[in-house]
Amino acid sequence: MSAQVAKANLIDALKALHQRWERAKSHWDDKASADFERQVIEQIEPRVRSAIKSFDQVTELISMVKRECGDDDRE
Amino acid sequence: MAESARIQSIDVIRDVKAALLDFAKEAGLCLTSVDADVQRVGQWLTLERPAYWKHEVRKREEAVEAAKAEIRRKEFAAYPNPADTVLERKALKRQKERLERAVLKQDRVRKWAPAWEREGTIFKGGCAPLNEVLHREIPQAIARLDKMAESLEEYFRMQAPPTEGLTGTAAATQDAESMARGKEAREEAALAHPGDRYGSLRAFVPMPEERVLHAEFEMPRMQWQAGSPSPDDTEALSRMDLCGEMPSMDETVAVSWRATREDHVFLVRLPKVIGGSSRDTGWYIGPVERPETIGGTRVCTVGELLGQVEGLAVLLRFREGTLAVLHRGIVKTVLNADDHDVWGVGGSGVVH
Repeated sequence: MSAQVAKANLIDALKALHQRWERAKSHWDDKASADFERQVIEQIEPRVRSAIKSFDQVTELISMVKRECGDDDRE
Repeated sequence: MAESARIQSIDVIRDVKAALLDFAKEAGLCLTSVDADVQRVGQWLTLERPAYWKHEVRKREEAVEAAKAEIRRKEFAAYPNPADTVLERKALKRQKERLERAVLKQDRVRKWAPAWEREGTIFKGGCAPLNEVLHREIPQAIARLDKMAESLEEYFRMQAPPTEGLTGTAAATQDAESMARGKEAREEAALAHPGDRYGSLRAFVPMPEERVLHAEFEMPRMQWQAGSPSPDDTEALSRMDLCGEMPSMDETVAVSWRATREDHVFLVRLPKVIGGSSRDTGWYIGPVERPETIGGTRVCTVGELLGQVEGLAVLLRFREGTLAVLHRGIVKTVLNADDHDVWGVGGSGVVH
């Protein structure tokens, strides 16, 4: 799986988590669920964003390294 | 007053747990995969590329030498006339450029190999917060959900209508009658010597660790049957020597699930559990009948408890060692730490 595929999969996984959480919230609506959302669910997205930023950087670097160190004039 | 838990089924907790586990699995795969890519590029730069370009530089040096030799060969062949070596010189130029590019690539590899190690570290740093979520926070959240599910299961079980019917067989009826007779006899004995009967309830309290595990969800609405002291009794109780300061609203009380729906309960104040995040008052509320069958323990705050049964406030003021028994709003006894009944003799003056 390339970093770009991993990025797409990670975004999908986060979306699926949010959808399932929203569904759960419609059956669980009290202070405990609000606390759980704030302390657990909402903490995940910024961490995923940070990882995605790293995935993007690493994708760019891998392209650069392959370009600079690969052999583009084989005979 | 604490808000009641609004959750329709334990399945909701299970669904959230499954959603977190699925996310953790997929996100873990993504991290592992990109990390493996980073590692592969590192190996490519440190092992494969240096060898490749070393070989390629040698090969291209040989090609330059061969192109030079071809020019010399043509010049010798044409001697003493000038030779036409335009094509050979173009070929030589091309081989020299290829050699230059290979040398340049060799330099690039030398530059990138250590730099890639740094980039790998930066990459890991960027993914560390997500790794923390996957390996620490989600497992903790799962444990938290498991605890909630366990408590809710117990709560729903206690809320379910009793299934042990006394109708059916004669033996069952006899058992019920026998139990009723036994209960009457115990109550008579209790009236005569409250300390003898109720004092033994002290043995039926949960272990200290169970008395401080505060549940994650709010105190559900209790079906409190034991009532609370009448205004006269509250007045009398508040004048007793055992009565001290009111615990803070955020300190905790351990309540047996069964006690939340029984009409005959005891409240005992044990030594506080100290340590960790404990805010224990030392209070435990349990059922008088079959006190050994606790049905799980719910730890709630004083505020949550009084939010539902305000009249218990006067009892919570009693000092460590006190044991009080409450039956449908009637204070049956208050025992001091030595199991002396101080309610019938020194309290209201009325033996209930």
